[in-house]
Amino acid sequence: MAGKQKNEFVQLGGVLCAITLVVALCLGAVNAITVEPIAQQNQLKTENALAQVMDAESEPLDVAEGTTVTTDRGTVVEIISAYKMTKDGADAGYCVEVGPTGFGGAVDTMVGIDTEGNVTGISVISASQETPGLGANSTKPEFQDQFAGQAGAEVAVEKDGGSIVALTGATITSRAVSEGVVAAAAFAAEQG
Amino acid sequence: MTSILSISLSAILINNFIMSQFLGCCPFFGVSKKIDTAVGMGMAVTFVMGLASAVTWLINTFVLVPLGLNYMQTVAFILVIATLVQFVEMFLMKSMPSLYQALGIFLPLITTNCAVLGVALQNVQNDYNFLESVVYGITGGLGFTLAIVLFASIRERLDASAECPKCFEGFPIALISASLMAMAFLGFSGMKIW
Amino acid sequence: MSFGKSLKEGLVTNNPVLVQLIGMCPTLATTTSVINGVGMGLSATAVLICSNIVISLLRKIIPNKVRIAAYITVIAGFVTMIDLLLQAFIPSLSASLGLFIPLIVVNCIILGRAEAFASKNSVGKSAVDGLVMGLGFTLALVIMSVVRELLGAGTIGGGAITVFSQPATIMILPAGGFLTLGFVIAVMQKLLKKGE
Repeated sequence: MAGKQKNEFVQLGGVLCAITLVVALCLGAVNAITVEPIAQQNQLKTENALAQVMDAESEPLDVAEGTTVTTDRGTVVEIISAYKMTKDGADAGYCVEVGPTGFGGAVDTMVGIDTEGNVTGISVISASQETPGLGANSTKPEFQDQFAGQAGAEVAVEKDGGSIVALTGATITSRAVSEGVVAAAAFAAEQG
Repeated sequence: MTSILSISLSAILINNFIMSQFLGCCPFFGVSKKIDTAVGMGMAVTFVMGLASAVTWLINTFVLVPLGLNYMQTVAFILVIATLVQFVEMFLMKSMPSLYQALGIFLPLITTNCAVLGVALQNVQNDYNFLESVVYGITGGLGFTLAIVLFASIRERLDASAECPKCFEGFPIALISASLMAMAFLGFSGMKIW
Repeated sequence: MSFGKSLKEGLVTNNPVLVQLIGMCPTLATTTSVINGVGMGLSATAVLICSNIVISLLRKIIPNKVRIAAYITVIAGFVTMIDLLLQAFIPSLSASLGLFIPLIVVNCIILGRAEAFASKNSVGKSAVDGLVMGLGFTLALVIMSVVRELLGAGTIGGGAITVFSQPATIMILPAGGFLTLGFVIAVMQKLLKKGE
């Protein structure tokens, strides 16, 4: 009886292991095919965002993982990546990718800062964790275009005494993006 | 500490699993006819979500990430959850028969509760550390319990006394009550202190 | 059973969402725009067809005691493949559906069909079942997302045409999801009663 039971266990385990192994192998194969395109897509996303916020050549800077900037209002903003921008050989400022915390998670945003510390443009790369129809509207040009030309360090939503018109019903996301811009400006200023 | 408080508040009220993220709707509608069963389901889900958060965090951090097997997350997590539920069931049956009596029938259902897999995946997505993951799992479960118990008490009244057009009887009217509840939960969305 | 008859069953009389009332989470969560709804519906259909075929093929090999674990492994495998393929080739859809792609694993429709149909029927029949049930799911998502997008964002076809500019945003928030589904199922119950 005991032997029979043991056999059954081996058989059950064997079949399960075999299935898992086959699934794992298939996934490995699919992963091998898709890993390149996924990396390319991510690269493309960053390049598009860069092109959108500043018309210049970019050169990535080394940013240690977990680098943060604390703004005057006390918000801690993560710096995801940063680029030194040059136009026709002349210094054109920085592009900084920030991840301020919005309503559902980080709102990944690219911010262009020129040599005077003014915002050249912003691009919200991903706001998919924000509420659809409210915070997720932060990717729309109507919202993003307001930032261009502002002094980076002074960006704020109207409620906080600034001039950014918050998205309807999504003050938290709008404020997060504004704080992200302030942090990006501070980071760019630190770089010189 | 503030991050823990913030996560708890967010998981219970602001980003309630059912009312604003739609995770765990199947048991929410399936087991909400009576308050006692709703309480039982809520407790069972909270327990499994806390446990699953802890175990999947360990597996992700110490097995999947070092081996570069991030793409196996979904497969690994769902297998872990299924096994975990099975073990919890066996353990309860042996050592705490009374609790098993109360929770037993709900346990197998939890494997396919998307709130459990959802919490495991969100922990990874949000880069939570071990403590934050466990807290998010447990408070997420508490939020689930809150929603399902409130909903069950509405449904008890609904079945007993409400008159509505024939085609709305049963499920549709329950959905519309859920909609009104979701509107109420929307009121929490302005709350973000930390 | 002829294909036409099973198609009618999957789409109308035994529609997984509107009649069997399963697979609620994605139905509510991803129907904020038509593009999302269709994307979700088709991804789930693809997984459903593949998993039904494989489970039907393996139905004599998988021991009864561990069948659920085996089914879930197979389903999770296909879901991950779809997830990776979407990320690689349709990244915008993958970003907007987000968490709900991996969560197809726990969509009760897929496990339900594996257990109730594919484990007992031939490969061909299971594939057809996967297709019609998947289409039924997609149909429900499309109905939901058309209503919610029109009322909640004032647009048709994923923002292609703007119908009015002062939409009732509540319709694309969670509350609107529950409300729309309630009304759609009520209409469905009324129609099915009439058909009898």
